[in-house]
Amino acid sequence: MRAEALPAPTTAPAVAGLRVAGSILATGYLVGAAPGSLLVLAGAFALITGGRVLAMETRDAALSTIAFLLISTALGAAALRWGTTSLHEWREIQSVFGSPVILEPQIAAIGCGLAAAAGTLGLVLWLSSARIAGRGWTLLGLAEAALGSAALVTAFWGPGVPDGEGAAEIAIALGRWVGATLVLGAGTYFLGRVLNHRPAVRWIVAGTAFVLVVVALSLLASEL
Amino acid sequence: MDLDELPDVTVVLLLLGHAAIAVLLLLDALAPPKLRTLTLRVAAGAGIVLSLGLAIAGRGSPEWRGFILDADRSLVAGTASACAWLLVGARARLLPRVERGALVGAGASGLALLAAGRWLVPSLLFALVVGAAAVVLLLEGRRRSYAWFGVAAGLAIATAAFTVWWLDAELWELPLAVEGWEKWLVVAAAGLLAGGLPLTGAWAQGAARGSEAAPLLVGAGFLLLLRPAAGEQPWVAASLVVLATAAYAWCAVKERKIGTVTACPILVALAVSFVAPSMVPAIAVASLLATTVLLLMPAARPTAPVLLFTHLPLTAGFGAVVVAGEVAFRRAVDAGEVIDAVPWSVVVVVLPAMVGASLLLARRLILRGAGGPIHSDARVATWLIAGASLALALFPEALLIGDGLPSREILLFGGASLLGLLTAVIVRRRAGSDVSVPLPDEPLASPPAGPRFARTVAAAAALFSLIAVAGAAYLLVEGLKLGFL
Repeated sequence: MRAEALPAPTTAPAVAGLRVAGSILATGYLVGAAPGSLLVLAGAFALITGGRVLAMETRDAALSTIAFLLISTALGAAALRWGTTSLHEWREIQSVFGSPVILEPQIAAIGCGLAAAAGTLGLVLWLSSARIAGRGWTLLGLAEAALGSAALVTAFWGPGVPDGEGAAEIAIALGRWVGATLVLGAGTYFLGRVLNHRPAVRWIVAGTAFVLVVVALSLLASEL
Repeated sequence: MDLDELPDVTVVLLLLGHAAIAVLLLLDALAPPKLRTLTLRVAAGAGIVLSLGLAIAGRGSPEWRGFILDADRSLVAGTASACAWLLVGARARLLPRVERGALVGAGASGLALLAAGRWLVPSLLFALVVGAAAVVLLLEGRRRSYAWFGVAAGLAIATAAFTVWWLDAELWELPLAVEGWEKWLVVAAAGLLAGGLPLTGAWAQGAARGSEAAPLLVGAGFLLLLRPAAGEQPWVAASLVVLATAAYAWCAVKERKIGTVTACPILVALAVSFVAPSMVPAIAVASLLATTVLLLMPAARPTAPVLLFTHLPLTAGFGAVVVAGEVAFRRAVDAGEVIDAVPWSVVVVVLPAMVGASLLLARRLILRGAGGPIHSDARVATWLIAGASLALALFPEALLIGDGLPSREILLFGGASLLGLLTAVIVRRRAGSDVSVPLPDEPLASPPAGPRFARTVAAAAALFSLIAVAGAAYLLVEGLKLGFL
């Protein structure tokens, strides 16, 4: 019953409140509604994680926290690549240079690719931790999947929503960004569901992602 | 009224009002218990008003004789004494002992004078007053020798550092900064007083009797960090971040004593102070609020307010931690040599791990067993602190702990808080009012009785006390000989 248990009534309000508050903050920063940095975005994900772990058993909670660390560190690799933690500056730089995964020098591109892979595995792991039965909780879980993938897409895929462009260009950029986010979100959510009942595999995923992110950071640091 | 033109009587009231409350409380010692509870609550309310007044008045830097209210120092001292009074008020019904309130009053005035003091010798004497009041409060519990040791060691080290500094500089004004090994002595003293060591000093009694003294000691420790020990110290900061992460992780897995848990946010605060010195007031205020909630926990058993010590978004400490992370990232990227980048990189990389470990600890504390009964006063106090923390997260500029947030960000944070709260209320109504669900049987533990070498610790504490008093007395006599005082 690990996966389907409702959070205890005493903690359910805190679980829901924290997850909703964190999701709104993350959405605001990801769509550029407020100026923010990677650290603030990571804080929003920490708030969501704080809500999620309240409804989990200890092992799941530990895995979920590790997953949060993997996602944050993977996003940190993008910050290291561009030399800034500002999400707005990321968008500006990427609107000129494109995705860091395909941008020279090769070592840095490989590092970013590995970081993106580690972040994706981290997101799968994050979403695989205990799910709560109920329509509202499922919707919240889907929203969190979308937010996690939006963060990874913003960091590694390329331009987000450009400022001051024509309406058509904005629509195309927005469409691509949303499309990539939805594809990644759906994929990670599905994989998360698959991994939900496979605890051993989840630890293997966590270990793999850890190795990937360490190698990615080492490669990027060597290029500084 | 301009804050820089406050009349002298107001400044005197803000500095000495707590002591006046203490005297009135002592007069009330013969009253019946019910009246004593009421008196304590009124006194605590008055103390909180005076403390908030001090915290705000510092913005105008008003002066009175040898004292000047500095914005940052007044804010820290005001918050510390407000937290101490809040603890007194929240426990007034459980523990209607007016002499404890009187000691908090004496300590709060000592702290206010310490924050406003410009001169070395009086400042040392006020620090001794704070320490003495705290030690007397903390002496009631089982780990009294550890409480005494922590406070006395902190004061003795600080006094020794200032005495050595004076012998070299022969200046009577409290230094803005000290260098060399004296600085490290002051840093050590600040760490000890602020509660960087678990189950020692301020945290020796956990959340038991005497813990009203803890905020005063934490405030005194951060006052030392503000001046004269402020400054970027990457290696110290990196060590402290690693230590804080390890402490959070240990507490999340093994530890259940409040006196250990309270040291964790202090370690984070010390680390932030050495990464971004401008954030000392902000992180000091956040730490005071977080540790006060922890001290109220056994009687309040809150859920969301426990998260204050994680310094997540929507809490007062978040802004300071973000600034520290930004500074560390910038220093790491801009470092010319690899060795210079190492400590900053450690801070940046370990910071999310620290947050993760703190989340696991918060989960453990929230999901713990029933423990003792819940007290409504403690719950109200806890939610008041949570509200204050949220207000400071949204409007950090209101108390001069950082720049104002952009309006779009305030809107975003405010919207997130409101919708989060609304969701929590809806879910709570749907879940019903049953709170007796099975939870892990993990009641918060009281600090253990002092181990066998408690006598040795007490002897060391006595020695440190002697050093602290002797150092202050030496400087006092020197000052008198020179006619300075």
